[in-house]
Amino acid sequence: MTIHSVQTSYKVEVAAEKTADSTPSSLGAATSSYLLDAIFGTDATPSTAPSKDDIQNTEDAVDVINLLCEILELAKEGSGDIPDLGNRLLAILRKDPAKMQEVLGNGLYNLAAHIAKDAGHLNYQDILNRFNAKNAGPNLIAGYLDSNKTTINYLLSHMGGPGSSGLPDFDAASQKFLGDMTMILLTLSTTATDSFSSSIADEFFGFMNASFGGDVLANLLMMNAKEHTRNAADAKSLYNRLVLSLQIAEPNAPAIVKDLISDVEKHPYQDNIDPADIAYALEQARKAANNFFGE
Amino acid sequence: MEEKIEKLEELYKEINELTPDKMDMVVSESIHTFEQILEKLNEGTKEEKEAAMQHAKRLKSQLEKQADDAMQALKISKDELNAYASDKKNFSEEEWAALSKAREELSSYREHIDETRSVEELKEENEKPKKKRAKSAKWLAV
Repeated sequence: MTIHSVQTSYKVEVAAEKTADSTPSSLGAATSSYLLDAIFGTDATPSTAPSKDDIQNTEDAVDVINLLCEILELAKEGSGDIPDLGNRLLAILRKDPAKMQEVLGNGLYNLAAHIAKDAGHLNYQDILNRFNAKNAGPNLIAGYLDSNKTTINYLLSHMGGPGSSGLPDFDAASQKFLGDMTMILLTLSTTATDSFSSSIADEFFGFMNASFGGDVLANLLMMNAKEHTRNAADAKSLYNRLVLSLQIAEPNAPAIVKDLISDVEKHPYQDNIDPADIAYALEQARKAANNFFGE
Repeated sequence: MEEKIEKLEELYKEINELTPDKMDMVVSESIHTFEQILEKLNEGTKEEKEAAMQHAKRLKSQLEKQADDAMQALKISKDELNAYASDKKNFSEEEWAALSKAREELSSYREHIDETRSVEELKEENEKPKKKRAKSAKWLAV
């Protein structure tokens, strides 16, 4: 959550009495909008849509960041799929190197380029060192997300509403974007070591939860579990990390965690995953939540 | 602090019945309170930081709820709210004057913070050695 401040001091006054049948005033609407924008930076939906170039650049940048996160995850597991991801990363960076450098910023572009170039022979520790050197990776990503928040939020808020069953009502491109953002936030919130990065993750989790609800967040996880995992252990790991990320990002998260667990139980997208493993993951998540909140 | 938050929450609950003469007070009180929240977030103990985050969330939720109610009543979408709030035609002269003043005040406030918390500065901050959060201890064995 981004909060702004200023050096001023003010006198407290008591609010006016509320009238029983009053209707919201134009002034009230405008004031809420100004305050949300100035204090929380939640000008999430611009009055005019970003240009097609802005949207394409944002989607490419999110692809780059997501691939970086996936490489980090696979490296951790000692997977042999890293060179393939490195090639996909290079392909995006090479579409228009100058533009990508401008969009991502030098730091993030260089980090992506170095990891992509050497992806074939770096082990987890090498990648982690590059990604986390002086906490650079998470902060560069957080900086990117923050400075492009308006366009990203625009994309998130224009993806079409989920129906009662959640994700299946999103189109494929929207599902991919939501899935990428979820993966990025998971990685960011579990690798970042400073409050700035986690506050960015918090803000986006909060936005996604408020916009799409806990069931969609849960379904996003299951979608990622199906797309990105090779076995049930990966699914469990993802689930655990989502719950823990929510706990870290949202100190007062019991309700969210409980809703999430409940929604996953109702809609366990377990086509490719053993139901017994989902049950195990849910139990672990419950234990984690109880342990964390001391319930 | 709790008392201040409750007062501001009350002000936000009534924001949709706001009159121009009360506007300056709402904006001023908001800025002042968030200044204190930010101070706690930056310099407080772990408990104070968590409490400050909860205070900010409560106020944000209240503001968002009021904004949602107003959007419904005015039959405008989230997309249209910013444009609506920036169009003089939607307000009386007195309201517009109050809004302009508020916008100016909030704009200076935001500029001040943007200057002091630029990404570059944050990067510089990260050059300093930091303690890692002990998150891994909470990870579950899978």
